[in-house]
Order: sequence, then C-alpha cells, then structure tokens
Amino acid sequence: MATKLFAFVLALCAMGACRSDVCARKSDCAHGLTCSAEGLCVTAPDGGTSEEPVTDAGVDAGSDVDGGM
Amino acid sequence: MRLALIILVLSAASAHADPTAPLWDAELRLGYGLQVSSGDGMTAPRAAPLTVEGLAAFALQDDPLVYAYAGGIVETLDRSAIGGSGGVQVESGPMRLRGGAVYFFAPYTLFGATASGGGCHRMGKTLRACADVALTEYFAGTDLVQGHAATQVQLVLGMVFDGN
Repeated sequence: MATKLFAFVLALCAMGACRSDVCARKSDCAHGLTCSAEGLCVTAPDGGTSEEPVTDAGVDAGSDVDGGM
Repeated sequence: MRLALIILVLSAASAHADPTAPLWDAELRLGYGLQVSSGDGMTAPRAAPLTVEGLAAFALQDDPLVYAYAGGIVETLDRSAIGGSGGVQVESGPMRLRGGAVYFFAPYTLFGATASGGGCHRMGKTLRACADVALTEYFAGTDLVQGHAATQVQLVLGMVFDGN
C-alpha cells in the first residue's frame, strides 16, 4: 500500500507536479540563489557575489580619509 | 503507519524467538524520493537528494527481535553532505520497522527524525534485499530556512549482510 502511494506521488512528480524553485533548505537552491522566507529560490540580494566589493569600497574610503589628513 | 506499527509490535511480541536471527548485520541503503517543505510560503513537492547510507545493527533482544543501528549517511546528486544516523529496529519475519535520528554535520548541520517500514527478501544464506518507505522530518540546523521544516518521503533499497 505504501509503495503504491509512493509510486503514485512519484508519478505525479514526473508529470510536473514537482518544482525545483521551492525550498525549505538553503542547499535546495542552485548556486547564486538563496532560499527566501517564503520558501522560494530567489536571486541573492547582492547578486550571489561575496562581500568583497563592499570591503574594497571601505578600504578606498579609508584611504581617502587618510589622504585628507 | 501507526496501524502497521501496532500490528508489527503485536506480531513480534507473540512470535517465538528465532534461533537463526543474526546477532548483527551490515546494510548498504540507497534512498530517493520527494521533499515537501512545511511552514510559511510554498508547499509544493520537489525531488529530494539521493541518500547513501551504511549501517551496522546489533541485536538488543531476540523476543521480539530488536536491533540498535548506527552508521554514516551522505547526500548527493544535487548537493554533497555527510552525517550519521542511528536508532532502533524491530523485525518480525521479513517485515521490519525503524525509528531513529539523522544528523548532518558538514558542510551544514541538519537534524531530523526518521521512521521507516518495509520488508526483506532473502537472497542467500547471509544476504537479504530490502525495500522500505522512509519518512524523515528535518526540523533544525543551519541548512533550514528559519520557520521551515523539510519532510522527505523516500523509497529506500537496501542490501543486508547478516552476521552470526
């Protein structure tokens, strides 16, 4: 009985009932996407890049301050 | 599921001890199925990762036949993670039920409770082929989105090597 139910659900999934853009786990989403609070894989706010550009901007700002003193 | 558990426990309790029951066994399990998220937002199913599990089970008592099991588990196909699992297993003839816990520790953490039920077919003196339906609820860990839980339903195929 359980095996038949499982096969039925798997068949539904094969017919398109399953979605790859829904998530409950962060690892459900492909690289560059993040799992939102609504349970959908969405593009990360920073575009999936690291915080390195922000750090660079901070260093530049600091250099300007140093240069001005 | 609850009815199956009651039937298995009652039949196991009324059965005589099996003198041929192994004291320990080792099992390789492959599981694949569906995952449904619970919590706010979307609840549509999606494919679950493929799990590969290696377990060892040791008999705790023979009437009814109860084993404690533990081993390692990996997730693969669309991600890579490694962890461990453990719990207890009740057997009655070719049927068996399991309940336990799953813990992934790298590269993220994930805690879950699992239950499975199924049967085995003897392929030789020390070899059995088994099929189970497993239900796993992941409820904590760094991989979960806050406010969500993930429920996995898997068909698990296993090869059991009986000890003595």
